[in-house]
Amino acid sequence: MRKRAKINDMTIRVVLFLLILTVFAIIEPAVLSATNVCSMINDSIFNGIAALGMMTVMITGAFDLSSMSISMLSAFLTLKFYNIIGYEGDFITMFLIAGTFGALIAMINGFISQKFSLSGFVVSIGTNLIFGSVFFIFLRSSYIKTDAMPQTLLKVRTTAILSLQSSGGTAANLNIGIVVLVLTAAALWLFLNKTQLGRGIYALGGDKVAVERVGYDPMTITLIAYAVFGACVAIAGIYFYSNAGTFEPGMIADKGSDVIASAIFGGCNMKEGKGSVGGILAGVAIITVIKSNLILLGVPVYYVTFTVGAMILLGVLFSTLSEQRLQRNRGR
Amino acid sequence: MSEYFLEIRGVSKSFQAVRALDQVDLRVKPGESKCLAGENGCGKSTLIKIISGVYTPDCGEIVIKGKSYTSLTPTQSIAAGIQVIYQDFSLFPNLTVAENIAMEYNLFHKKRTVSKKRDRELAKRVVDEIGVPLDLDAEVKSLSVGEKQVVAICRALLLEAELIIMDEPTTALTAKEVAALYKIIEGLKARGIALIFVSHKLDEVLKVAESLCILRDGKNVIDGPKEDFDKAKISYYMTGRDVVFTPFQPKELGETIFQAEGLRLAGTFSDISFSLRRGEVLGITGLLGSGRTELAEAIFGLRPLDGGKLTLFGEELHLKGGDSAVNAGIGYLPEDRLTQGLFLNVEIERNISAGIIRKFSQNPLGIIDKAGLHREVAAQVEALQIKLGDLQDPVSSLSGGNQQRVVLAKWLAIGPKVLLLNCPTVGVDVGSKQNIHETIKTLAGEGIGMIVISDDLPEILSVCSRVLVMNKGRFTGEYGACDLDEETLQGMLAKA
Repeated sequence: MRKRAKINDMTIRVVLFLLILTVFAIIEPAVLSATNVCSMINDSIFNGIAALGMMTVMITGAFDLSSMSISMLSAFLTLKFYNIIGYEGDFITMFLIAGTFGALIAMINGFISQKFSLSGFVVSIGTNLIFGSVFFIFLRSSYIKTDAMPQTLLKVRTTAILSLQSSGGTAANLNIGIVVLVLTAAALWLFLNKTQLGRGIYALGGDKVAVERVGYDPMTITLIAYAVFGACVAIAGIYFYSNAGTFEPGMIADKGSDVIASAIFGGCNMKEGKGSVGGILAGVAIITVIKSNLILLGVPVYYVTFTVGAMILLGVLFSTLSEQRLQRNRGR
Repeated sequence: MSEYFLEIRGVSKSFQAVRALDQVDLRVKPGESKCLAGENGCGKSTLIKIISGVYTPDCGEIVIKGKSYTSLTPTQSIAAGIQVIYQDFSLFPNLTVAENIAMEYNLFHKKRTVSKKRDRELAKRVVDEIGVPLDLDAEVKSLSVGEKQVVAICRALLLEAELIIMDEPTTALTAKEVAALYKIIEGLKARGIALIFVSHKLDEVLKVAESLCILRDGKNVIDGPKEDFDKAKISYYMTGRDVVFTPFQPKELGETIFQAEGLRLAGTFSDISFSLRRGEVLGITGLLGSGRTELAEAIFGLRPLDGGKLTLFGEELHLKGGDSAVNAGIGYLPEDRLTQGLFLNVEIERNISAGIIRKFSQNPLGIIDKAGLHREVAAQVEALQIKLGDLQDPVSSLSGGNQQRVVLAKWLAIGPKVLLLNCPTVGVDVGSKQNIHETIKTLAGEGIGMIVISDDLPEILSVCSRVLVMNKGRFTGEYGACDLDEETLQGMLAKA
């Protein structure tokens, strides 16, 4: 019974995705052009990596509002770090350094909430504002112009793993970032499903008292979950700013709600310690296909925002309703 | 090697000024099942926590299989083969049965990686040993309470437990599940596993325990084979005074207070009629799922009835929600006082006054008459002899019995005409239980119509003057309490 329900949830997501895609394709056939498909995939990279991180914290039963501040601050620190040592950067260390910064910053949230038994959500309301402003207080300037950026990083924009020349002359490029998303997803899947610590993250979301009784250290697990979260949003952040070619703090701020929408639509459930890599990827696919194509069709931006909001509500309702169905089946 | 698996010798433990344990001894042989009993706060939990390595004793000795320790760490305790199954089972609802069983084993053996296949194999081994069918791939969330307990037992067995300590093992189980548990326990004993039960429900635990150890105020009172005890003796040792549960005989029956005719709630109960007269305590009993709780909630207006008529002093009632029931003069003590009857972290005074605030704010501005409210609350606390430090302490600081009295006080404050009590003494120790029973009888004598709904048969027999047996949503019998004994009543319940 449980298996059937699980398959159902995932199947529903895939069917929903195909359905939405088909509707868009009927309205505008260009949706399925190589250019647009590549562009949709490229659009999903930031959201995908960040949502995977968000999921890890949500499985433990917490919720973190400061994801975009952490993302932005770690990217900024990484760029500054390269500037100080006078290095133009490379595709490997940029993610490693940003990931480390992100992990350390996010662990502050985890530490405070676990140490003082506070809700992670409340802690993150405060740290969100602090992370978003602390460094600029000391450095004054918070803007990095294109020519001051580490130059190698800017190549992220133009590096494609697949390049198709369509008949109309427009190029369809699949950006290198998709490799980062796939690697992050694979690594996180292995960690969450195949390691004892990864299972501990689910266990913490299942029962906070029992987790200690079976022999886990709740603090360790909390810190690790937040570190994974911080690393993911930071990797997403450095990718985003390299792709943008310039650093401005605010550019990233409004992306937070897409990340939350994807995580929720991907089946994350804070109350029950639920969330899976596959679910998140499906959630990201659904949100991306809706958002990118609404923009492609020239729908005004408020309608797009409206839709994302509705999707968050639908996602929450969806998981609650499928849970109720499960309960009813059990009662029968 | 000594004949005992575990010997506790002269263990003491103090918390600040409070002496929780004072020179306590406890001995268990392999394959023995022992019941550790005592009222709330007698030191049972402290003793268990010392055995499981959570607390360090101030003095004394813990001897496991002949090896002496002055204190244990949790890891040492597990390594020595001691497993505690807490009342909440400490399971993970979002993980599968197999993973729940294997998780602690994996952690204890410092496994870094996880394999579903290995978890399944480990789990299958112990589940087969115990001989209870369990779907290893089901999420624990979807299991019944009894099945969850089996999962917890399996987890303990996988860690090669030689002593399993079970905290309130039968409290949340249905009669059928209890029977299944007894069978499992017999199997464990046959394998030489020692068991310690910590429980309030002595009748049930005594069926499986061979010996009994009673603590009172942190001291050993008595320890011996169960044949040496009877119910009265146990109550005496636990409370230090004679606790007598006498059947209730109303002095005189007055006029009809409350009447129900042909109550019906689709799919739950039907054809329910009864009347309640002044001075009597009416008992309604039935197994879990017989519809007894639903009936209580329907009478209190929480569930809209599909048919039937309720009359209070000859006037027909039309209840919509608990609010209208309170206004009509009906009070309801829910089964689960902790989640439904109390604001646990809120002051005692505010809990008791929750139902009467309106009465003390009858002025145009709705300003609360705090002094009046306080007098009323103090009077109730006095009348019910609630033991408390300060009215401003949170309810959670009180013992179970006193918490239950706070709920009672809240209802009495509204001056009810009829009071419905659903399992009024669940989780309450023997001494408080007797007090609550006395209170119920006194209130009946004062003219409040009392209806007690319970599956605790001794309770029904000692507090009610008339008993209605409910089965599958119907009344199947009506008896005077004096014509009944526990076995007959048990038989009535089991009869389908």
